[in-house]
Amino acid sequence: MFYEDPMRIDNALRFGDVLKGFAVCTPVINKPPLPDELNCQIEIAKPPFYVILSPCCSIRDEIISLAPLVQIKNSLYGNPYYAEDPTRINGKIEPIYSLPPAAWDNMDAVEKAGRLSKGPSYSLLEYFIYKEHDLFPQYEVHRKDGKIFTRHYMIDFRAAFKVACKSIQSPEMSPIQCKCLQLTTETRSQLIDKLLVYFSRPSVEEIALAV
Amino acid sequence: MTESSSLTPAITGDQTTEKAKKIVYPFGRYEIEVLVTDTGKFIGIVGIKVNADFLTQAQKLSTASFHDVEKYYREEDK
Repeated sequence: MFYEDPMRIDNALRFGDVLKGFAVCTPVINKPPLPDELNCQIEIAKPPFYVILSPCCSIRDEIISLAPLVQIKNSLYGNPYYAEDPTRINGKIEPIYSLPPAAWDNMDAVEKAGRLSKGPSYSLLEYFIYKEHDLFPQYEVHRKDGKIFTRHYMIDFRAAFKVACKSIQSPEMSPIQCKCLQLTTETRSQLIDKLLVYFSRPSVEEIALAV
Repeated sequence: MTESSSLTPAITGDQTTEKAKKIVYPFGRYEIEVLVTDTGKFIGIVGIKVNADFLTQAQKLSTASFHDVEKYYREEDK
C-alpha cells in the first residue's frame, strides 16, 4: 500500500505527507551576483498539493521544507516500463528497463555491457512518484501514440523550498488541517532511500578519480 | 549487531539465569565483540576481528551505482 489507511493517519505532520494550502515563491536571479540594491523577480505559484521534505524531527521552529507535487514529465511515458506503473521510478530497476526500448536497442555493445554490470540501480534520481489517488486531479499526458489520462504526480527534489509558518511548532503542534495523505512506513522508507542516493551520489570527477 | 545466548556462570556458585548478548563495536580498523547482560552489564570481551570493509572512500565512490539515463527523458519541447 502506498498511502496509509485514512483511519490510521497520525494526528501530526510526517516526512512525505501530502499537504494542501501553501504556495511556492521562487526568486529568479538570472545574472548573479545581485547588485547592492535588491532588484530581482519573484515568481509565485499555488499548486494544490505539496510534500513534506523535512525529516519528522525537524518539523518545528516555524520552518518546514516542502516540494510541490507536479505532473509527471511526458517523456517518462516514452518508457513502457514506467508508463505501466510510474512508481517504478521510485526504486531500483534493472538497466534494460531504465531506458526507452529504442534507446536500448540502438546502444552499442560496450555501453550496454557497462550498464548491465551495474545491476539493479536507481534512475532519474531527482524524481519520486506519488501514486494516483482520487484526491488528485486527473490530467492528460500527450504522447505521439495518443493521450494517457493519469492521476499520478511527482516531486522533483530540486524544487524543495522553505516555508516560514508560525503554526508549525512541532510535528503534533502544526496545522493538521492541511494534511491530506500520509505515506505508509514502507513508502516513506523508499522516499528516504532515494533522497539519500540523490544527495550522496558522487560527481563525475569523483568517480573518475576513484577508478 | 547483537547475538543473544545464555549466560554461563562466570563464578562458581553463581546461579544467575540472566541471558547475555554479544554486541559488536566498530573500533577503527577492528570490531570488538563484547558480551553484556540483557540489562547492559558488561561481562567481557569475547573477540576482536578485523573490519572486513576495506573499501577506501574512493573505492566506495566508484561502486556507487545509478543509471545515467536523463538524456533519454528530455522534454521534446525544450
